[in-house]
Amino acid sequence: MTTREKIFETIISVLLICAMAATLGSYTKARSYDRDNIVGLYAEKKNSLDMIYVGGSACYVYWEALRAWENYGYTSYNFAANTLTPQSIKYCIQEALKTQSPKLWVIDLRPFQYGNEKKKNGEVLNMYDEVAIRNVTDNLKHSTLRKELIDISVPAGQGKMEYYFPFLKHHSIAINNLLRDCFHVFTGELNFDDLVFFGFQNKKNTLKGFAFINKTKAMDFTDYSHITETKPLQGVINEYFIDLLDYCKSVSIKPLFVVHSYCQKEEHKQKFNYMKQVIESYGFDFLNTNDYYQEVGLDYSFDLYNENHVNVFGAEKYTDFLSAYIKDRYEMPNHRGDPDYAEWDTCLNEFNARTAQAKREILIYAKESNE
Amino acid sequence: MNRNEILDKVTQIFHDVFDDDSIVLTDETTAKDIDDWDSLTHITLISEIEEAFNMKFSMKDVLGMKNVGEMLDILEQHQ
Amino acid sequence: MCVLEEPGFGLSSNVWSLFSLDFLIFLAVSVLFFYLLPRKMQWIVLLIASIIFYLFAGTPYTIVYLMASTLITWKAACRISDYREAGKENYIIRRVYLIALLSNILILAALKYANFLLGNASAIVSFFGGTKVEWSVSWVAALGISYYTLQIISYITDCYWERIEPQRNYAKFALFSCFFPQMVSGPISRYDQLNAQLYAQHEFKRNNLMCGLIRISLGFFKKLVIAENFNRLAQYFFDLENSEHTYGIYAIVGIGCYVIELYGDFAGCMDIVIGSAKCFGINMVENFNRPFTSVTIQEFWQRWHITLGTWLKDYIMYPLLRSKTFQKIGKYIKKTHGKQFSQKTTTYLAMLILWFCMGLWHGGGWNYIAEGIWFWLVIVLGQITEPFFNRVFHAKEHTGRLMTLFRQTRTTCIYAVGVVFFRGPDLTDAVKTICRSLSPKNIVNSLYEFPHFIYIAKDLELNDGKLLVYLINAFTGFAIFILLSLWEKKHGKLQDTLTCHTLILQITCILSVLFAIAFLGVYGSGVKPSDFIYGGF
Repeated sequence: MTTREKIFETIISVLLICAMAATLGSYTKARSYDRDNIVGLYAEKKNSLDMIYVGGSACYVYWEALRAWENYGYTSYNFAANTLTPQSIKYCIQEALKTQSPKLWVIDLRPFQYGNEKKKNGEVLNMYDEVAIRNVTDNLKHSTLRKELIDISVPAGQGKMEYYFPFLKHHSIAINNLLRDCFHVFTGELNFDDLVFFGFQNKKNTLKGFAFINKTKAMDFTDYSHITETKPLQGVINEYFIDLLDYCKSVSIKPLFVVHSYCQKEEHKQKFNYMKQVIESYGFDFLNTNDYYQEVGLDYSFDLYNENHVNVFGAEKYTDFLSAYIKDRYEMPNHRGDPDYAEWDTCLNEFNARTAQAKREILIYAKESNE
Repeated sequence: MNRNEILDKVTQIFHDVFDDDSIVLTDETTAKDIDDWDSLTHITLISEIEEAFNMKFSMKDVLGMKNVGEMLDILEQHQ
Repeated sequence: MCVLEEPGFGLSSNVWSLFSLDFLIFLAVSVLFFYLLPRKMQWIVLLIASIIFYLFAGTPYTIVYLMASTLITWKAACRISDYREAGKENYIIRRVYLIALLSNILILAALKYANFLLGNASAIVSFFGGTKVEWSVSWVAALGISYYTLQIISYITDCYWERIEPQRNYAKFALFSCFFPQMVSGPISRYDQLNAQLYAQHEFKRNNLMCGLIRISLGFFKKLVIAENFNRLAQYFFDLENSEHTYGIYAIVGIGCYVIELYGDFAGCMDIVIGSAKCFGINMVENFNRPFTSVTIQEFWQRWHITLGTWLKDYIMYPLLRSKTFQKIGKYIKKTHGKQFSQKTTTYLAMLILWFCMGLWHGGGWNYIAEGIWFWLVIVLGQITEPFFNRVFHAKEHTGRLMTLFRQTRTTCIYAVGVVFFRGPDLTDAVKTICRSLSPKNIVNSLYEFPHFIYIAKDLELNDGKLLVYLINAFTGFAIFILLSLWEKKHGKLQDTLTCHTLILQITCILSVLFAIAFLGVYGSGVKPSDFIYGGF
């Protein structure tokens, strides 16, 4: 072999090895809200976010970051994943602090309410549920934080390797996903640069972590704002709760703890009352939006999708209420007109178009359901 | 018999067994060179040659023969 | 999902199964010692490694059977040689040979076929005696007994036929019998091919090691990607619990998947075996050579499990055809029906015995024997009808591509029918399956349903609800395999062509194969690896 051939082979080999290692190391599970939300945060410009809202679906189906931008000009992001486990919240904050320094942290308290309840149709507690854990850990970048989160979340006796390296778990579905994505690019549903090769493409989340729900279902609401009894959190979940508060204190964060507007149960309200007590004892802010249901103004016969989630109509009302509350209370900046934040206006246009589309779909859906 | 005479007689047997008068044998001819020369026809060939030359190959010969040349060597030895 | 069990990653948890990480570590340690110690001691390293492997891979005490076989055979071979030199009579020498031969056969029969024989005996007794009896034993089979017994028998027979000189050193002979790569599933080696390499002194050659490693990684690909994925598919289409529902096109597709699984499993294992031996600089005989390119079923068996075919030909068929009994039968038929007829009849009779043995070797069961008889029937019918096809269709003259493809497909289908018998689990089930698959009514009904079945495939429950995923991975893996095969046809075997290239390219090649396995293979905690099909013999 000539020296030239040898050099050529060496270069090709090294490139191939790097490509394979990068793919294996960063491969996560398929396209989902969770992946888009978590990965999208890394793609946001450094220190450009005024507010970060951490939580589960109670966060990303509710808070329309672009509507808040439209209303008041401050930037925000839903750093959220489905059935986020309560122990993840602290780590999410730490992870986000690596690239962002928001003025306000908003924390969804629902994870502490469902965390030690059994998963539907299952035996496992929500906070130890594999799917719930993976919604976050599969999508975070490799780091010691991620490893720590896995170590405390995975129940004893289960293998951790598959959490450290998600491809070990999801490998068999990789080709399937790739083919399906290629098919969607072919049909136009996806853009070509949505195909994530090798995982190191941090896809920008143009909806800033929001997910549209385009269905409606009539629900019943009971007002429990008069309930003052408290029901303390028991066991490990209370430890996580206190740990989170201690952490916030230690890094001088003063978050706003929020309970979203939904068909709250009396037992939930009691738990939230307990949490309110503890939170306020730390000097942090607490807001149960169910206590202000008239101001929020949800139409429970139309604006909800199920007991725990609103649709686009409901999200709009919720965001209007909460964004005003935040603007008044926390003196949020106004960046509208600032050329550094021009992309937010572009995203807003897309957001408005999709909101209108979703609303149309809800109206059609409602009409068809009534027929 | 000398080697050439043996070769002629063997060639005749090949013509009969394979029903092909065009076959020409050399010392280097092997089973690959002739169509239909497989493990079954090999045994037939062996039987015919044994009968024609009134001798018996040993199992060692049957399995060990690599080409026609080795076969002729064995036949010469048995003269 | 939340499965609380030891994460075994879906590789075999049998200690020392060839497809386990344990085996790779064992191999690495053996190779290290092999090259670090003085060259004179290399064969001793192999022997010790083989003994350790045997003790851990199978049930430890079964090594006594291996020891018994090797001791008897070694002693007999030496004695045969001594008696010959001393000029003793033939019948004495033959007696020694027969004692050694029969001892080996008896040990094999007792350990492997006891239940088969007892089962048949009790069936006969129950039938005639009136009362139902069921005799059986539960002896543990020795690891690889079907393989090493044949290998030892070939040795003693070659000694008897004076094809080889006996090995006077018992330890060296023991190494030949229990060389660890070939213990689990062959190939069935011959003494004259292997002995020089086993006892020789091997210099470390990087190429040997890289060739071996590339081959081993390809073996893992065939097993984890091809065999395992097609195993899941075959299980679904051919689910024995729901065997009543498996019919028509489903059964045919299921068998197709099973055939591919068999190939991936066995050929993959061979790659690991031959690759492992190559790491020591030892070249073993190939056991597979593109079997599905065969145009006749005879050719198929010269390309599939090659060493078994040649063993049966050399040690059963030829001796039979040259035995006095067969000569007598031949002469008798020649008198009454002519030479050609007599030759054909004796050949077919010898083949019948050969195929009976072939079937029986695979297992003690009538379905295995039926498999052998099936192939015999196909070959004989083929030979009988050949003149007819040549006369009427000029079959011999058609050698174009399309005709070749037709013949290859036909051969594969014939093999697939044989595989139905092989799969069993017993003869009645096999026959039922064949009837159910090939009945025209079933085929039409199932074809009508099939598109709908594929449409809903993505939602179908298959163990973990991933039927479509297995389908995609299976076919991607299969496509890669076919492409590699075509490339190898043009350029030669991958590991051989890579020897002329840089070390880093060779390493990248191995890593690429592992990368493909990473994404297409079936493994992970909670995955139960399918049992290695040919390892139970």
